[in-house]
Amino acid sequence: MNELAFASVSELAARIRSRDLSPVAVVDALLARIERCGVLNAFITVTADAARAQAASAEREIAAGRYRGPLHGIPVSLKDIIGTKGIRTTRGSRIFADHIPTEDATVTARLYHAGAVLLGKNALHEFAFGVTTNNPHYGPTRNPWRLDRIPGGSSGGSGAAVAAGLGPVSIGTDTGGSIRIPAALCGIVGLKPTYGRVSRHGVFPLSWSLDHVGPLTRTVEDAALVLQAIAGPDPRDPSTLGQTVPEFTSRLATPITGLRVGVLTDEYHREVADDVRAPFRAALDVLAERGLDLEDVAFPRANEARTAAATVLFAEAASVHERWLRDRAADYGVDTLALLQQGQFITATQYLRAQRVRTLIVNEVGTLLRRYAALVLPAIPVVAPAIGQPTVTLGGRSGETRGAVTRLVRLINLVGLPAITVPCGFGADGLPVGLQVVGRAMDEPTVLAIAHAYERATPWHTRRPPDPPERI
Amino acid sequence: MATTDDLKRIADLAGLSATPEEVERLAPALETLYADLERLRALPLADLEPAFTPRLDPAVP
Repeated sequence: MNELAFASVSELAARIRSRDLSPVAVVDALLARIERCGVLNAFITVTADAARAQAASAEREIAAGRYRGPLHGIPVSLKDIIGTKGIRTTRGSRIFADHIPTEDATVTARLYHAGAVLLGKNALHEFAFGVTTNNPHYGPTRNPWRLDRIPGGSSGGSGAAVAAGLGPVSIGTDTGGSIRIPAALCGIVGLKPTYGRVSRHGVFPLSWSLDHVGPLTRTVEDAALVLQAIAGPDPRDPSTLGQTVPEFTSRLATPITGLRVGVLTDEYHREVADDVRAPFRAALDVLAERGLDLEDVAFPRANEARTAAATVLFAEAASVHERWLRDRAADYGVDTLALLQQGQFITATQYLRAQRVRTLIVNEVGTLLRRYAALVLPAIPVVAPAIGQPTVTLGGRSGETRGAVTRLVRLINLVGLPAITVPCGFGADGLPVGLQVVGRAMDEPTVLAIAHAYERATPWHTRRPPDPPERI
Repeated sequence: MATTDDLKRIADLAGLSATPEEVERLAPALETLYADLERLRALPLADLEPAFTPRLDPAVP
C-alpha cells in the first residue's frame, strides 16, 4: 500500500507506461487510503466512481498504444475552488455548497487532456481567504504530522492529502502564499508559478491581480511535470498571453554551480523562529556546497510591500464578494466576513496608491534580480500552529497567526515572481520546515533547478508523517 | 487616524449596510491598515502608474 501511496508521479508513470501497473489499481489503492485517513478531512468531495472510470479509460488507451505522456493514468486532486464540470465545487463555502459548474477550469481541462485521473476536490479555507483551513462549514483539516495542528492554507486539503499519501499531486491556488504555506507546513513541495504562467480561467477569484494556480507534490520533478501540463497561453485569461513555455523537466538537471543567489537577510526577513532559522541556515550550507554563490541581500521596502499586498487583496476580494456580502452575509464564517468587510472600507484612492507602490516595488525587485539568479528565504517563519490558535510569538512579540504565517510569502505575490518551497528539515514537535526559492519572472526552470539540486542532496522529502494518522 | 464616525461616513458613501456594531468591531483593524496606507504616501510615486498586474516594466534599467 505505502509503495503506491508515496510513489512519485515519475515512478508511477514509468510503471503505467510499461503496463507493469494498472491505473485502476492505483486509484483503488488511493481511494481506500483516502477513506482510511478521513480524520484528516482533506477532501470535500471524493469522485470515486468517476475516478475508476477515468482510470479504466486510461488503461484502455495505453493498452491500445495511445500513451499521452507522464500524467496519463496519474491520480490528481484539485482544490475545491477550481471549476469541474458536473462536479460540485463549493469554494469552501456555504453559499456555493451545491454549486455544480457547467464547464471545467482551464487547468482542469489541461489535466484531463494529459490523461490525469481526478480523485476529488480538496478542502480549503473558506473562499481561499485564510491560512488555517479551519473551515466553519466543512470542519477543520488536520496536519498529517500532528493532528492537532493546522495544515496551513488556504490550500490545506491539498497539502494534507499529498503529504499523507492520498495522491501524488494536488492543484492549489496562491494569493498570499496559499500553495507555499500548506506545502511548507506539511513537508512537501509547493510551486507558485509566475503570474500569468498558468490560466486562472474557471478558478473562483480571491484577488484577480494576486491569484496564481500551481501544483503541490512530493518531489520537485513532479512539480515540473505538472507545470508542463498546465502552463501556457489561454485566450480566456489574458494575463497568460504572449508567453513561451520552456521544457521544465528536461532542465531540472541544469548545473547551478556559480549561480549568484541572494539570501534575504533584511530586518523584515530576519524575524523567524529559532526552530525554523536553524534548518534554514543548514539549507544555506547545502546550497553553498552545491556551488551557489550566496550573498546577503535586502528585499526593497518589505513593510510597504506587505501593506500594498494586503490592501490589494482586501479591496479586490471585497469587490469579488460584493453581491453576496449584500445578500448572504450571514452565510459567511466569522473570520472571512470580517476580512471582506475590511476590504469594503478601502477607498479607491487607497487601492490605487497600493497599486502604484506595487509598480515601484516590481521595478525595484526586477532591478535586484538583474544581479541575482534567484532569492532564498524560509517559507514560513514558524512551524504549524495548533488548530484554533489565534496568535503566535515571533521576534518576541505576539501577533495574529495569519500575519505570521503569510509574512514571508505574501510579498512574492505582489511582484508575481515564481517561487517554490521544498522541505528542509524539522522544527519543534517534529513539524516540517520549508526552504523558499524565488526566481525571475518566467524563469521557473532556474527555480526548479535550484530546488531539485537541494532536494537531491538532502533526505527531507523522503520523510513521511505517522501512518496511519491516529484517530482522535 | 480614522474614527468610527469616519468609518460610518465611508459606509454611507459606499452604500454599505454595516451596522454601528460592525463598524465598532472593524475599527481597530482598519485604523492599523489606514495608518500603514498613510505611510505609503512618503514613497516616490510621482511618475508611477498603478500596476494592476505584476508585469515587470521592460524600461527599468
